[in-house]
Amino acid sequence: MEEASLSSWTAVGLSAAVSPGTACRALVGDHDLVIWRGRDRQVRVWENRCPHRGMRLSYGFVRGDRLTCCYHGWTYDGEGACTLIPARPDLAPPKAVRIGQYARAEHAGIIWAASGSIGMEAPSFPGDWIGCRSIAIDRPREEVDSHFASGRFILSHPDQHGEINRIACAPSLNGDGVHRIELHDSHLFEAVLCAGQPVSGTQTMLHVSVRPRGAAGKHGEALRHVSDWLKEVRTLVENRRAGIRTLGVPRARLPHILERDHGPG
Amino acid sequence: MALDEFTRSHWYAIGRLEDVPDGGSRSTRLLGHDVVAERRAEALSIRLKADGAPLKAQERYGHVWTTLHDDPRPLYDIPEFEEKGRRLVTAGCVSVRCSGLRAVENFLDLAHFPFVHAGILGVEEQATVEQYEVEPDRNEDELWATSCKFYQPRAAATAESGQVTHYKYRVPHPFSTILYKTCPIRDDAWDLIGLFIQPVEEDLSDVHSFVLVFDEDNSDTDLLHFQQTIFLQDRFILENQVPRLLPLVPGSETPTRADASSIAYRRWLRKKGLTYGALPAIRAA
Ligand code: FES
Ligand SMILES: [Fe+2]
Repeated sequence: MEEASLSSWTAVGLSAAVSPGTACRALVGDHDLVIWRGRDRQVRVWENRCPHRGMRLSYGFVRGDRLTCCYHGWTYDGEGACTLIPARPDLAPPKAVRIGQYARAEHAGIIWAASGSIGMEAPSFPGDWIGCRSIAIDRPREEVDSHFASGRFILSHPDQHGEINRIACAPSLNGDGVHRIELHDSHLFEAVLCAGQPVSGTQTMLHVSVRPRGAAGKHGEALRHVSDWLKEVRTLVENRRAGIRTLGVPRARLPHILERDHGPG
Repeated sequence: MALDEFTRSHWYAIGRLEDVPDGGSRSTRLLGHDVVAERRAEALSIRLKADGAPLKAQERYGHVWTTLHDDPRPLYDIPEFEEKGRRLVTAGCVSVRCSGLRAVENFLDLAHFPFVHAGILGVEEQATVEQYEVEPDRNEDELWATSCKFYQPRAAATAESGQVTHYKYRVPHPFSTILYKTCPIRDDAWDLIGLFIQPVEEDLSDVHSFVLVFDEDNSDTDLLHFQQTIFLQDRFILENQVPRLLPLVPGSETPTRADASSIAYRRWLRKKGLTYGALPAIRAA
């Protein structure tokens, strides 16, 4: 099984899902993370554990550029240093208290994290991306990866004349669990980026951004199509493992996704 | 994990009297063992489910108690249960996914009131915890925290306005704790609120709570609602503390002077050689 670790850059959420003033939780195997964004718009990825008494910080609240633990109100600045202990405001918070930090980056509408010692640049993707959707798939990431790698997914959507366009998704792999799909023939998208977060040995969270083509007015439609397509990606990936052949699923239920022939071409 | 002698030597509440009515039985789990309590012709009997071995049983403080030990230490006295005019209200047990030791420590904690019970037991503007005393009794069989005080906007179901509440805490047992707080309607009396924790597993607890108060105005339901509101707020905390077991190694968490009771409780547990529901120092030894 793939070791769920943060030794390489890993997608942990959509940028848009962590708006300023909020905190949330993300799991990557044994790593329990709190992701939060202060009013300064900086995103931070920390160990999800208050050094005081172990409360998960993802239930804390963001005030300005600080994160306050919900158990006793210990408050941490953007660097993870404690600045206030409400029960003893006279006491200078112990200097040794510093929350474990992860390296983090935001690219292509996705928040990426890695263990602090990474020393490798976060993946970057040129162009204007819009975060589309995160979807949970009940399969390990390497299984999701192998589906993408086999190029089996087909994204279909109507073209300008209402004809259904079927576009085979030949992905390019940008490192672990990251699949960029260039769609040269689509009037709606230039590319789709799917980045898998290995939540556990049995679950993957797929974070997806799109680079839409054309006028901003069309972006909503593009996002909607990708969002529908993702539900079908999930159906396909989850069912294959359960032994249900995609071919056995009525096509009407899988309008956007087909399995390509394994034969040549 | 072998059960340490200190944990094994105690009595544990495993249900209320009314949970084991005549002709009825209750199956539950204590310290990793399935146990069955039964009452036939008024007589209470408790046995291990696995081999039917009988366990000692007694009925006290509105609850049914048992122990895995052949020669347990006596169940502690709560003299207030003998006092006239008090009402006992029990809530039935609530299951919490954490070590019972975490639940006791949370119960002893004043500093969380303004955050976890905001608007009821504390307000953020008055979050300071004044110095209080924590000491073991003479034989080190129990712990007492005294002269605790805290501003509370609604200290009890009977309270209509804010007051500085005075508290005492008693830990007569590693998995039991009792709070004595100023009675809002009687100057000379304390109201009691307590937890009898049944450690089901190291990281799973059935918490039996009780209220023993002088209160003529509130119905049992009102008193229960109040306690339940408070306890559910605490349960959310308890189920989100990492790790679930109580770390007894100094340095794994960060106590300050406002955490005197937590420091003393952990020290007492270490001294008694307790390992069940705790992490991990003594275990290695
Ligand atoms: S556990 Fe976070 S402030 Fe106490
Ligand atoms: Fe509480």
